[in-house]
Amino acid sequence: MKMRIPILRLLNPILFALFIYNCSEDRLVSNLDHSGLTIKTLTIDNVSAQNYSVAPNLGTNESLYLGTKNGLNIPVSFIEIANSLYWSFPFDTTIVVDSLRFITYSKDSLLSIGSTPNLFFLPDSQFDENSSTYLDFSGFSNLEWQDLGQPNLRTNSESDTSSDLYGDYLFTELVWDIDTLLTVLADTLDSNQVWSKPDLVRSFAMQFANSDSNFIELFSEEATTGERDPKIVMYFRRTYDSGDSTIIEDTSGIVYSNGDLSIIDPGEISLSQDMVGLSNGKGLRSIINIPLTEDSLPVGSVIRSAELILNYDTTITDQIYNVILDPIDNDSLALDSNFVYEFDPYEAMGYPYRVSTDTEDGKCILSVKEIMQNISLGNVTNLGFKLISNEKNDPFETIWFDTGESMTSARLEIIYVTN
Amino acid sequence: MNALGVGHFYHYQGLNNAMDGITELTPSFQSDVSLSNPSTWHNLKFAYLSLAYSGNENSIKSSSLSNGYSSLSNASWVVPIKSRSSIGFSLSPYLDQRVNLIDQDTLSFEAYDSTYAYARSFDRSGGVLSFKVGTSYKFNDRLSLGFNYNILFGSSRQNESIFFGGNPVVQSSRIRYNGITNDLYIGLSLFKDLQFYGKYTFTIKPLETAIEKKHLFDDVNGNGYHDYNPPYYDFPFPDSINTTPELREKNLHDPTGFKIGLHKFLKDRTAFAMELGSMNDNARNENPFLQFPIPNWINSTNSFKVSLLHYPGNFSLRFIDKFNLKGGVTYYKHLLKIDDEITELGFSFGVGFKFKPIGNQVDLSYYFGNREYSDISEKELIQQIQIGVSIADLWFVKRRQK
Repeated sequence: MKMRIPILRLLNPILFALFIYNCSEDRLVSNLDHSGLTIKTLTIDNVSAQNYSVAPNLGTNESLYLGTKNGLNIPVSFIEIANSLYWSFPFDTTIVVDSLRFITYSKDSLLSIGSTPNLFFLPDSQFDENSSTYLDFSGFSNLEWQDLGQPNLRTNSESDTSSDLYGDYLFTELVWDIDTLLTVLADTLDSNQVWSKPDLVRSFAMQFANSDSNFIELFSEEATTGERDPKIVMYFRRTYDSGDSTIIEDTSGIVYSNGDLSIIDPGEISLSQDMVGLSNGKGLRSIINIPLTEDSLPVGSVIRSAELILNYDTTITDQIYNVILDPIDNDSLALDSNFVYEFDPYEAMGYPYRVSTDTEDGKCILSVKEIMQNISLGNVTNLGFKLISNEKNDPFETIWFDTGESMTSARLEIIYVTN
Repeated sequence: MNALGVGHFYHYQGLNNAMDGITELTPSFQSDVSLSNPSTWHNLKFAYLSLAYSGNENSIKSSSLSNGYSSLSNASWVVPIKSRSSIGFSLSPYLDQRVNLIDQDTLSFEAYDSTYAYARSFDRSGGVLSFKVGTSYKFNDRLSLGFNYNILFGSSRQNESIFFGGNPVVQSSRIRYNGITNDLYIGLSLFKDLQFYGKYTFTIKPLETAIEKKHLFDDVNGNGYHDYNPPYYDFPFPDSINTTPELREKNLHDPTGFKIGLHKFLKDRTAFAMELGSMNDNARNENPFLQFPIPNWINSTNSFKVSLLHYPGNFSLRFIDKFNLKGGVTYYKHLLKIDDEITELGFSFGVGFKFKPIGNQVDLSYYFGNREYSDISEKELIQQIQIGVSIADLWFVKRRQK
């Protein structure tokens, strides 16, 4: 059975025309009022909150502090210097170590020698940047530490002058001469201080010589990627052969800190019934309970927006404050607002439910759409939320949220679509 | 009409296929054969594989609205058995559910000291196919019977959206259909040049559906799908949603009806045909989901068709005698379940070309119709062009080796 070629030639364009015919689709305009989809709102205004205190730890803060500010006292700051290949140089016959300098940085152009701290060294002292608090150093004394005295100050500016002559000030270096520590820092007789040992401890402490009301803020290792970290600079002369000649080179190496911590003592904190506060320096956190359950929204609804609105007093907190809300993962426990917990008693869920926002104009608006949707879906049990201050916030500032039964109290506003 | 009930039935959209033209029961493919009527299949001299493809356009001129689509309209394979009986299989679209609607106005609502503008839309695509197994038996030269076992199956997907705040919230649903209807055919030769044909349609298993309503989601990229893959995953994350049980509904389409036709030869190769039909749908579309976007459906249909046919000469060698010509007029009156009615008047013209002695045929047809709705002032214009190819051959016959 064969079809004639002319017939196929006739059919081809017709078939092609038909196949490409499927090309127009205009939407019809209609009244869809009887559509099942509707937009609704749900306001939950009986949000409750309670403060609790955790011993403050400023290990991740971008500054090191010493002194007293806003009623908070920082008696001591610790700096740990990292392991490095440079610690083996004193034992290298081709290298002569000339000097060692311990350097920290300040952004205070008016810093004077009288308001600088003393540096101390004690090989046996240890601290944990992420967990040590004032509770671990309640009886701290520097009597057994080696006092390295006060630093020399060196001001840096873009115009390379030692003063802020042209208003182009960059930073001030606090430089301690620690040549006397060379043998201790590089002592191979102590097995804990071999440079290659990962558990080697080189801890320094900074304290004011007297207990007056001085206050100083320095860059911590979290502030920059090295250039303004606390560090030790080793100056040395290296001799080596290159071809037929011997080269003598004067150079330096930097050993950065690998941990630093300001020990902050919050003292006594007075709490209000109608307000909850957040403060990194005071260790102040709070628990928020939002009475949203699986049954609060119609089955099958999707939340378009869910905003937890907290109001705060701008006369107390006038700067931008970053607030974090994180759902609690463990079951609630009896909370004692007057007790200072060594560690946070609440575990949080974190990503993707952890949200943060900056406060603005007396309002802190947190988008909690993701967690609220999952609570309404029954995927997550609503055990409350942990409200904490971002670690980058100024630890000496406190934000107070109003949770009383007034028009400005906390509330959750949900816009959702249901079928 | 796609928005009525379970959708728009293809047998109310122009021609069934290019080969049969406007009529269904009375012969038009050949002088004694209609490919849509099993009671005539045993008159075929050869087995036929027949395909038809159609292009459709529905438009409303005053609104400048035009919707066009094309699809396979029929694929059938018919095998006559010793000129006494036959068996055949066919696949064709049964109903079309394409609907695309948008709110006539942008609406607004106020919440928390803000005003939100929103617009709703509805789109549905998909439909139901019909797989038919047919047979016929010729009792004598005057009487023959035919039967079609018609399996209906298909699915559709629909999205109901509400657009506000930058992207739509979508309710997506997937609907599966199945059902069984049967057709009984009779062919009766009243006189040498006058034949009577009849068809009775009844339902074995009314069309039923399983509706899977998906969870609402924020369609972030507006593609209508609940996306899994970052960075385009939609809210809420698909894995966080529990599947809701399927909703099953019965009796969505339960047709019962009859059709009769007369076929009268005016000359040797020229004939006149007319058909009269009535179909009732005992559907009960009570579920609100099925009543959207229009809570109404076709309850009964009366149809009337007349056709003038000119058949090719079986043994003539003249080029002009190889053509099959057919023209006709059709009239539908659909009564809807709730008050309204739809009437349609259509005209068709078709030409076929027969080639090779065994009767291969190419058909081309055109339909133009005018559809009026009792609740809409504007008329809908329907145009349809179809092309069909029918290939004849001897099947299941032992051939001598060359």
